[in-house]
Amino acid sequence: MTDRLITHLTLEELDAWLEGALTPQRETHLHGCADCRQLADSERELVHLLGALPLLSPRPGFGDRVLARLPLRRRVRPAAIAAGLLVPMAASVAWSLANQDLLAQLIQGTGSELGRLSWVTIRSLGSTLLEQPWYPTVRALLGSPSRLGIVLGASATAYAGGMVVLRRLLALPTQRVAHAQG
Amino acid sequence: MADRRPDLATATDQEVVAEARAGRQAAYRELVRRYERPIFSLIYRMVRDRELAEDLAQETFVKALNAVESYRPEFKFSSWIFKIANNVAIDHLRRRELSTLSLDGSPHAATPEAIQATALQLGDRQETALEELEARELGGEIEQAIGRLRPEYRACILMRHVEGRPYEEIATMLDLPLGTVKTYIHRARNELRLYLAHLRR
Repeated sequence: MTDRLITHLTLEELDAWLEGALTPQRETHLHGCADCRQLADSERELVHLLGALPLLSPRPGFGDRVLARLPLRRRVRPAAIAAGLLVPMAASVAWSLANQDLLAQLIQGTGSELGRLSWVTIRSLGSTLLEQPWYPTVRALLGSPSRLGIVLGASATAYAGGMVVLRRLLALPTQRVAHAQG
Repeated sequence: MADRRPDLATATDQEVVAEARAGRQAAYRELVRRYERPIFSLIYRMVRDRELAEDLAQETFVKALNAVESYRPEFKFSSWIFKIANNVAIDHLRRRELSTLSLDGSPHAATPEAIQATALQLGDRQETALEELEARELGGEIEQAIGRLRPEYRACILMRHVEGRPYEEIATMLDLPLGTVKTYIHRARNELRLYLAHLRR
């Protein structure tokens, strides 16, 4: 019984036979074994039937319907990119060359105005800080390097602790909730 | 300056994809033209509903063409788009929990006992007259027999014997081990032989 089972063609060998790659020894067995022959014939017939199935067509206009669902993409040509960059640059250079005096005035005026605004802002912030009621206390507290170190250390610890607590609060649950399972 | 764009009708898939990536609308149309029938045929044979198959085929192309930038040219375009089509069809079937009957039991059964325990009887699926007529028009008994297979078997047998894909490519397309693909195909052929046995008598 065991010998008989072993000598029958395996499914792998049937595949090999369908592809014309069965070894001569097994071919000999196939020709002499009615069971294997019948199985092989029916396999070949089935594979032939499957291979002969026709290609089916969707309704006419399928391609149009697909393309209508796609976002329009336009080819961006390298020449267009180059033109888009070079034309404004060339125009800018030409205008600058033709209006050098005006450009120098603009740069000088803008620079001095920016500097003045910055100085006014810094002075305003400084005077506002000095007028705060808590300023003398803070100044006394930070008066020595050791106290400054203690305050900075405490602030850093409080910040790190706050971050840890926040992360735990915002973390997603790692176990599925029973009633949420579909 | 001479137009160096390839003639899409004679270009390889890779060349057409490159043109599509460059934004050439005609390249998208060419890819649809090349694959609309094979993709529609595969999906129709998976879901056995013409309207649905068309919707799913459209979904396949929209997904593929929208993701054409992520396509890696070292793989065959046909494998890539068939993989998307199969995923679309299988996802739909899973959502719909389409009941299919198998003589060989669960495809995941590892032992003969497990296979026996999960084996099902051949169903007496009642088809309407219209469905029966449609099935006859589309290839008759063999189409109906394929429709009775589990979706996993169906995908494998269609890829192997209708599309003519090698086992290794099917394994890559379906993200399955090679041995599993071979098992599915052998079981599918066994079932089909049984379903079609009356034709041989």
